[in-house]
This record gives sequence, C-alpha cells and structure tokens, in this order.
Amino acid sequence: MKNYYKTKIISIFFAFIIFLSNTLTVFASDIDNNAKKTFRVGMECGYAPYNWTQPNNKNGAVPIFESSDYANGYDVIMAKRIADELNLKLEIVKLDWDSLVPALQSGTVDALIAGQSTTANRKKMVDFTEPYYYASVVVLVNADSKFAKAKGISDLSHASATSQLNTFWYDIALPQIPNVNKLSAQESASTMLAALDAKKVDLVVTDLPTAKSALAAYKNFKILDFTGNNDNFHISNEETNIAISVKKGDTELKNAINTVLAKMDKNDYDRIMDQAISAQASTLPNSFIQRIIYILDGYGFSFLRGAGVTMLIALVSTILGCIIGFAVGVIQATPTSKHDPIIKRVLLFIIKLILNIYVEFFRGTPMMVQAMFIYFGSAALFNFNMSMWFASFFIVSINTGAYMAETIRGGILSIDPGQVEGAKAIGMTHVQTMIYVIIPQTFRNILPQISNNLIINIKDTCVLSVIGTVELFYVTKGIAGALYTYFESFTIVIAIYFILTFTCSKILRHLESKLDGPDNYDLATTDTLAHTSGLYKYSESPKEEGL
Amino acid sequence: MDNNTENNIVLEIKHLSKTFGKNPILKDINFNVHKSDVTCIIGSSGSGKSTLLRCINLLEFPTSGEILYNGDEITSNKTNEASYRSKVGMVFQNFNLFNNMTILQNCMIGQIKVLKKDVETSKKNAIYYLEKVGMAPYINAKPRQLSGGQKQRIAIARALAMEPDVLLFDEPTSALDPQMVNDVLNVMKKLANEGLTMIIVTHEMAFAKDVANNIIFMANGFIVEEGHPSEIFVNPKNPLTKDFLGRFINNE
Ligand SMILES: Nc1ncnc2c1ncn2[C@@H]1O[C@H](COP(=O)(O)OP(=O)(O)OP(=O)(O)O)[C@@H](O)[C@H]1O
Ligand SMILES: [Mg+2]
Repeated sequence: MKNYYKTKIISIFFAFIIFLSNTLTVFASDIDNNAKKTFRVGMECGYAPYNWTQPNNKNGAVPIFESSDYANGYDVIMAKRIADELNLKLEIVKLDWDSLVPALQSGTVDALIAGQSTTANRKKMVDFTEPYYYASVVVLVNADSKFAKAKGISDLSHASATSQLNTFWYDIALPQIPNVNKLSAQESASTMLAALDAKKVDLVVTDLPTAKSALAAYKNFKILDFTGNNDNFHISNEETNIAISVKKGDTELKNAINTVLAKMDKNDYDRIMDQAISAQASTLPNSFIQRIIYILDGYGFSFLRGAGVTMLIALVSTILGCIIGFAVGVIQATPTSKHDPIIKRVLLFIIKLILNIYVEFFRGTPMMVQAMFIYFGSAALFNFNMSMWFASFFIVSINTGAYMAETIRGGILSIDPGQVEGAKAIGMTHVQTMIYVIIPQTFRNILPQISNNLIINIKDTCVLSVIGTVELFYVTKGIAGALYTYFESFTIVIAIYFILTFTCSKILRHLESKLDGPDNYDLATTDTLAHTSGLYKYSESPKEEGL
Repeated sequence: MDNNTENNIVLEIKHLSKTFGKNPILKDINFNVHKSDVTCIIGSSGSGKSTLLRCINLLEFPTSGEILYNGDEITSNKTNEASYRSKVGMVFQNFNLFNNMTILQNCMIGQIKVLKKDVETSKKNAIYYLEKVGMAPYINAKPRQLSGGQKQRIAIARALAMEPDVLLFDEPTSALDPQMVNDVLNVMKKLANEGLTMIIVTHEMAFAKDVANNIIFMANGFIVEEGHPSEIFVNPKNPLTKDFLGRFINNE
C-alpha cells in the first residue's frame, strides 16, 4: 500500500553503489553453513497491525536484532511461519520505511515482510512473492461526524480528507471522492489518525487492518467499508495486494516463500490479521493522563533505554568529536614559514588540504544522508557489514569533529599571539606551546561551544533512526506506531529530551566556572623569621602540567 | 667592563638587516654584548628597536646578517632555536604571562618542560626568583587577578627561573602606571648589580643613564651612535642623538 517515491531516488543511488561493488569486490559468501541459516527479515516495527514494537515477548513476539525490544504483528506471525517451514533461523531487523529497499538491495536483509503493496515502481527494484494479504480500502470518520452515515463515496463529497504520504490511499483512492478537499498528506499512519482525532479533517482513507487497529486507540472512530458496493473506490489489485519482497534475482528464496504461502488462503490471512489486531494492545484507557500513565507503565523502560542510548551516543561522540576537532584544528592552525624545510611545508600543505576536504564534506552534507551512505554503502560497496553501533558513533563523532575543527581553529587563532611569544621566549617548542599554553586556553574559550554541540548531538541522534539505531526518537516512533498514541508518546518524549538537554547544559555551565577557578586568591603565608625558599604554604598544590 | 677579549663576548651581531615585505626596517646592525653588560637601546618610536630585539630572540627571522651566540652562528641552525631561546630569555612590554596557569605554574612550566628539571627543584627555584622580585606571596594567583607592575615582575621571575645567559627586555615599563614603574626598575637594577647580562629597550633615560654600561641609539633602522652613557648622555656626537636626547633633557 505504501508507495514511496523517495525510495526510488535512494534506490537509484544504491544501484549505483552496487554497480561499483560488482566491479570492485570479490564477495566472500556463505560463512555459516554449520548452524541453521539465518533468515533476516526487514520491517518497520512501527506499522500496526502489520508490525509493531513491544517491550516484552507477550503473544509470541520475536526479539528485534541488536535491540532489547520485541516485534509483533501480522508480518511477524507470517515471518515466523515461513522461517519454521523453511527451517531457517528468523532474525527481525528493524528499519525505517525509507531504508527498507536499500537494506534489501545491499544485502543487509534477505527479505522484506513489511506490509508493502506490489506497485509497479517497486517491482523495478525488488522481486515480489505472491500476495500474503489483500488490503481493501476503507474510510475512517469520527462517529459523531455528519459523514458517519455515508453509504458510498459520493456521500462523502466536499469532505476535507487526508491520508498517509506516498501511499496509494492518498495518491489514488482519496481523489476519487467527488469534490474532496484534499489536505496535505501525513507522514505516518499515527499522525494521520491523530489529525482525524483532533478533527483537523473530516475523514482519512486507509486500509481495513489499519482502520481496525485504530479503533483500539480511538474509540470515537467509525469504519466506513463500501466493499461490494459500486459506489466504492476503484483500485487495481497491484495496489491492494500486499506481498513479501526479496532481492532482485533471488528466485530461490522467492520460490521457497511462495511454496509456504501456497498452503494458505484468503481466509487464513484474515484470521491471522484478526489475531494480530487483538494481540495489539486493545485496552487503552480513554483520558490523556491515563494514557500517558499507561504508556509509561508498559513502555517506561523502553523510553529509558532509548534515552540511555541517545545519551551514550551523544556523549561519547561529542568527546570523540572534540578529540578529532582538536587534532584537525591544531594542524589547520599550524603556521608555516618559508624558513621551514620544503618537505615539511609540502607535507603540511597536503595534510591541511585533506583535512579541509573532510571538514567541508561533513559540514556540507546532511547527517541523515551520510548515515544511509555509510551504513548501507559499506555493506554494498565493500561487503563490510558494520554494526549499527559502530556506524552511529562513527557518524556522529565524525560530524562533531568537522564542526569542532573549525571552532577550534578559530579558537586557537583568537588567543593573544603574546601567549605564543611568551612560551617561545622561555624555549618551549611549538608542540609544547600548543599542549601546555594554547590548547588549555582554547578549550576553556570554546567550552560553551562544546556544550552547544553536546545538546545538538542529543537532539540530532534522532536522524540515526534511518539506520535503525534504537535511540530515543526511534523507540518513540515504535511506541506511537504500536499503540496509535501519537500525541501521548511524543508528549512524553519531548519532556525527556528537555530534561536531558537541560541537565547537560547545567552541568557544563558548572564545569565552566569550575575551570575558571576561584575569583580571588589567598596570599601564601610565610614564617616571619625564615625567609628561605620553599617555606611557603600553598592553598592548593600546583599541578605539574600547569593546566 | 672594558675587557674586550674574545672569550668574554656573549652575543655578536654582524651586518644584521631585516625587511618586512619591501620595507627595510633594520639596516646593517653591528654590535657586541659582553658578559655582564647592560646594553640599553634607545631611539624614537618606529626606529626598529623592538624588531632588533625580536631578531636577537629569533621571534623574527633576520633577512641577512649573522648572530653569534658564544661564537656559534645561530640563524642558520633552525633546530636549536628552542634551546637557544632558553638561554636568551625575553621580557615583553605586555608581560605575556600564561593566562591558564597560576603564578607558580608560570614560573615552573619552562623549567619542567624545557630544562627537564623535577617538580620539587622547579618549585624551589621558582619561589627563589619570585622572592627576588617580591612576588612570592602571590604564587596561587592567576595573572588576570594582578596589576601590571606585579605581572611584569612575575614575567621577569619567569625568565630568570630559566637561568638564562642573557635577558632581553622590550620596554618592560611602558605599559605601567608611573608608581609601578619604579618597582620594576628596581628589580632590574638589582639584577644588573648581580651581573646579569641584559639588553634593554627603554624610554626611561634616567634608568638607562644610571644602569647601562653601553647605550645604543637607533634611528631609521640604523645604529646612529653607540657608547658609554657618560659619553652619549653628556656629549652626543651625532645631531640626531643630540636632537633626541635634547627632548629628554628638556623633559627632566
Ligand atoms: N610584522 C611587521 N610587518 C611589517 N612591518 C613591521 C612589522 N613589525 C614592525 N614593523 C615596522 O617596523 C618598524 C619598526 O618597528 P619597531 O616595533 O621595531 O619599532 P620600535 O623602535 O620598537 O618602536 P616603539 O618605540 O614604538 O616600540 C615600524 O615602522 C613598524 O611599522
Ligand atoms: Mg617597540
């Protein structure tokens, strides 16, 4: 059903990488033939009732790869059945919707069981199995709406309507309503439902499973299903057929999955879908506060873990980034004079040029795009499957480093040149001058900038959700998608983000004043008679490094 | 101090010149500094006094000419620049104390990192020289907490703690209030009496007359006249010197 055109651009990009990789790499293949072969399945884990994230293994949920959460839903039930029948070890990989096809193409996952409709566009990029679900299109309205009694889509004329971005619900079905007031599309199913609940729109167009599970969260909604009526949406099978996709040319896996699907029929699918919908949390309380408590009760630990991951990535990456930034900034600020040997000048010129390219490249491209490029690109181009953790730390550190390098270069240049001359005049070398005099002063001066960067990193780690890092934002999207409690989940997470950034900024402010030392000094006392050196008492012992 | 034997010469400046871009700032400078000499360089603003001092310390690189330190040519040998500077220290008009360190640390860092002395010895030494300039009680203060005169005395102690052969001073008192000037000049007088070799750029004529045993008068990048204060101040030969000193005598 979802039909993202963005995915196409990303896919062309990855197709390019794959083309490169074919000319470059000799692939090492089939490492583990000893144990059961793994069946890596990609899905969003945030698209109920097809797939969602939950904190425990209730109702037969499956652990998510490199996460402590579990996945459940129609797709998970189907994935389990296929893995069982084919005697494979199932691994569920949580991926952003936009990353699904690239992940499949790069070989990060073997198959996508993600509620994808078999659109023509998508068929160009992946191979589809036979459908494993048929999703009819329905309309959701508020039960007290004047449209609640509609008998066909012509009764809905002049209604304001929306749906989810880049889906055929929005692109093909919705415009069929006569004189419809088509509002801009919503980013996800949860935001679309939140818009209907807030009465920003009269109706939303979606499919039956989504509508059914929405009723669990929004008791005030009503489903209008015009199936069998002539006055209904006219949608091709291509759109309503939901199928599993495999990498283009992977006929072996495709045929294996088809043999499993052949043993089931439409009734089996509907039964499994109902099973999934009832497994989805259906006991949501009604009031806002109670829902917040309900979410915190069920998913509080998930939020905490997400916050922990966010803080870990932000802190470690800010520190690593500062180290990179200092190294680069110090080199960039190294002066050359024409009295230096020519080799030193040429070498320094080349190093500076490379560092300059690094800084400009990473500052000049979005971190989200870099994340996709590095994470999936490394798998496709070099057959190097870097762990999501490594990728996360790497991307944020290298970005922070690029920003810090410029700050630090500027910070070094802004230190009074007299400090360098003072150090030179007592015979210190350039390196000693940097380490003991310039860098400590630069560090103090740019500390506000470092704390700024930490706060930016706490917030910006959310872009890592595109590669499936289980940081706070990603966790929240999963919870919002699982329960259709968009507003409540994001109320919680905005509070968490604020607490994190506010605490960090206070701690760093405290560190700043700590570094400045006391405002006044104590005169050292001396024994009135003994004027010999070394009899002064110090209020604090001087540090050797002079920092 | 009239002993001119070769082995007594610490610094020998030969045909030194310096151009910035196309501007010649120093032109064929020649003079010698003997052990325990106090050489005062005087001259009007822009005459190149600071540039000369900075060339001697290699903070600026001479365009041509030679600087011999204990007979060794030092401008051609870049590698020993740092160790040369630890022997020929410099005190600046703007003190240039390390802002990130306490007074004690300022006086210790060079000893530890450059001379590789251990912490205890460095500390004792630092305090010895801080006592000498009357700043020992301030060891725990940071530079920003002190007055200009105090900072300059600490800068002198920092340079002394390196136990240099020669100490260069570039207008050490011109950033100071009149009442602080004497504190610093008294310290310098004391050092002169103890036999420290010093080259001092100064506008304090009374001090120069009193302390120096050699006066160098510069104008337009040249050394116009050089000699003992009793000659230069009493009986200047060059009209430029007369003119310059005339202003000083009138001021007194
Ligand atoms: N880095 C530089 N680049 C270009 N010109 C310079 C530089 N440093 C000094 N000069 C020029 O050299 C000339 C001599 O400067 P210098 O500082 O040596 O004079 P000075 O005798 O110390 O003067 P003052 O008594 O005012 O300190 C001045 O005209 C100055 O503009
Ligand atoms: Mg000057």
